[in-house]
Amino acid sequence: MWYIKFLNICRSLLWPSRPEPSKSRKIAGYRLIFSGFSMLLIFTLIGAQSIALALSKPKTSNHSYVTINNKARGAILDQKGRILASTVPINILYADPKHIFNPEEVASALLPYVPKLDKPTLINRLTKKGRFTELDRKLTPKRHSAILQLGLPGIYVKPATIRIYPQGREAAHIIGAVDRDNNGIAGIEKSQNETLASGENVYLSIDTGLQTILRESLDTQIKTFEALGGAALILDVKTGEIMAATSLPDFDPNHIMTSTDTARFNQVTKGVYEMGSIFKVLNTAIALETGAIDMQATIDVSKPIRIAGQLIDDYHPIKGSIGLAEILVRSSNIGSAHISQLIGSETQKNYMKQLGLLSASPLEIVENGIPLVPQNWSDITTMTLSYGYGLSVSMVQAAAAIAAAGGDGHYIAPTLLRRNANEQIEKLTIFSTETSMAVRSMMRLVVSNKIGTGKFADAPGYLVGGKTGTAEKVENKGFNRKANRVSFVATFPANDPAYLIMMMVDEPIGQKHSYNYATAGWVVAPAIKKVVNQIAPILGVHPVDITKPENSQNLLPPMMLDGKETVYASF
Amino acid sequence: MRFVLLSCLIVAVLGSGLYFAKLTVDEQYRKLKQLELEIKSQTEHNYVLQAEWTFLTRPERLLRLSHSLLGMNSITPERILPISSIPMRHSVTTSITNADAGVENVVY
Repeated sequence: MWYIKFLNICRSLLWPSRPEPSKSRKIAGYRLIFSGFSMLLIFTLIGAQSIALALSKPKTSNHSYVTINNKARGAILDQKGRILASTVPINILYADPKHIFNPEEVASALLPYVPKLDKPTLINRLTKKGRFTELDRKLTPKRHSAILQLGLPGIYVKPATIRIYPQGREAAHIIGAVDRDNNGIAGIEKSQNETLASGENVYLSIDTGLQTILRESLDTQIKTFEALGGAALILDVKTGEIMAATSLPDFDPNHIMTSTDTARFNQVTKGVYEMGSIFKVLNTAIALETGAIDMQATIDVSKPIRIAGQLIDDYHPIKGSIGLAEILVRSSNIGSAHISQLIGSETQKNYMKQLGLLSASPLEIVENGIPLVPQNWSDITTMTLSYGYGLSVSMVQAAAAIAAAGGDGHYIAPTLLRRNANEQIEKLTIFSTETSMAVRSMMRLVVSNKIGTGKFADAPGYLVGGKTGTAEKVENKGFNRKANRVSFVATFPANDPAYLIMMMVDEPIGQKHSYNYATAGWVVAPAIKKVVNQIAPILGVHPVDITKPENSQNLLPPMMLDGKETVYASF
Repeated sequence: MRFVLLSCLIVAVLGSGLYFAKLTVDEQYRKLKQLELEIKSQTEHNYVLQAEWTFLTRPERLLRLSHSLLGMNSITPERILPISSIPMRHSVTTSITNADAGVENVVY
């Protein structure tokens, strides 16, 4: 038999009997063939395994029950690195209805640990078709442990993440929110979605400390004057960074779905409004820059202007002729309209364009308002625009434009993202040093002089300069004289403006303590003073001694106002 | 014959070596995964703690607490002075004797 012969050969290979010399060569041949085949087999196996390993994909973990490859959404941080939005792990409680045999019993056992659901709803979910039904999205560790103790079949816990906003309502409109799948649906969350989704953090120009102070002050004024709402911002004049921006009413981004449409509307960046008298700052700056008028010239403001069926008059009638500074300080509509005629429509339009007021600002947020620009830039448009009617812009746009006129003459596009330390800031020179010096001196007078409309904004030591604005709201194709939007724009310190604060209150109602006045000077100016007093030490702005030549040389010398000598930067 | 046996021995040693190397790699890989999980878990804990810290130290809360519990208010401009307005000691003379005298006069 051949196999017996084969076994004999194998035996002779392992325990070879001393071969006869004649057979020795034959046996050696067999041994050689056997060894050769064995080696070939071994090396073939090793080679095949090596090739298989080289071609195989990296092995995924068999030991872990948590996947490691999912990157958490990046955080949104404020200028100082404080968290505004972050992603934290949560546990989702869910059921696989196919594995639940007695829904009634499971529901009874589970009910104390799912407080948001009642028993019929729970049973309904447990008997649903399909293999997944969510029972609770935010399972606390305590309830998680208790549910595991129950050992209910078909009830499972899945790890997931949730977006949280630890600062609550602060800067909610700027930060925005995400949907259930952690995709940005509003604000920075939406505009920077790609960056955040890749796990990178985004640093905003917002400073939460300043944000809190601004929001608190605005909220107090809204409540005191029974207003509908309001908005405010703080802008770094030197960098264009928006350091605080608040719009009230606001919402808690942790519970965005429970907020109203009104609360979700961002009045700082999305809403476009006729700004009213604060535009007189721009009108004055353009007039000085173009040489349409100089500081010594006077204009007769005693007679109202009647044009195209419209009447332009002053809130407080003024007799006789007054100079450029007094027109701004007393907020004369008639004087501003006359000046605009000296400037001319074309020039005014060009400046408005350069100041970024005729197109949407390049702000890094989806809620970015588009200005309502007059289609026909007629004489009457030029006149009304000089005191802030006829062109609707967002608060951010107005703030950036006024920062150019009342700052050092450069226009810097506003930003919501933190600038890098060595970043080259793009500056567009629009006004000369002389013009901006004159404008900031006059803005200081609005606050420091006894006839100024913004006296209540004077925070001693910080040289606040500003301008009030009261704009009637549009209603039924006309203006409602009783429904005003009052605003105040302030820069400080006036000798070298570093920060700009702008605040707007919607439809305030005069109170007893304000002698029933609901103007910007009564409603907003006190809040500006409070904000400056609180933020100046935080921002490292020291009280200014204006008697020192290095400070006083940045403002105009004393001049005549209201028949008396006026020191521009008086305390 | 000796060659065959020697080859088998070498193959056996190499095979065993390879097997142990594979086991060690598997063990190291398991440890690596364990560490990765631990890092992930700690990072997540860190996120939670940072969020909690931010929530507890939010300026609105600190403002409220410092005002109600400590009676603190914003710094008024009168309390902020330039360094030059602080009365300084007369400039110390270079004389060693005077300096020593100064030291002796210090009351601890």
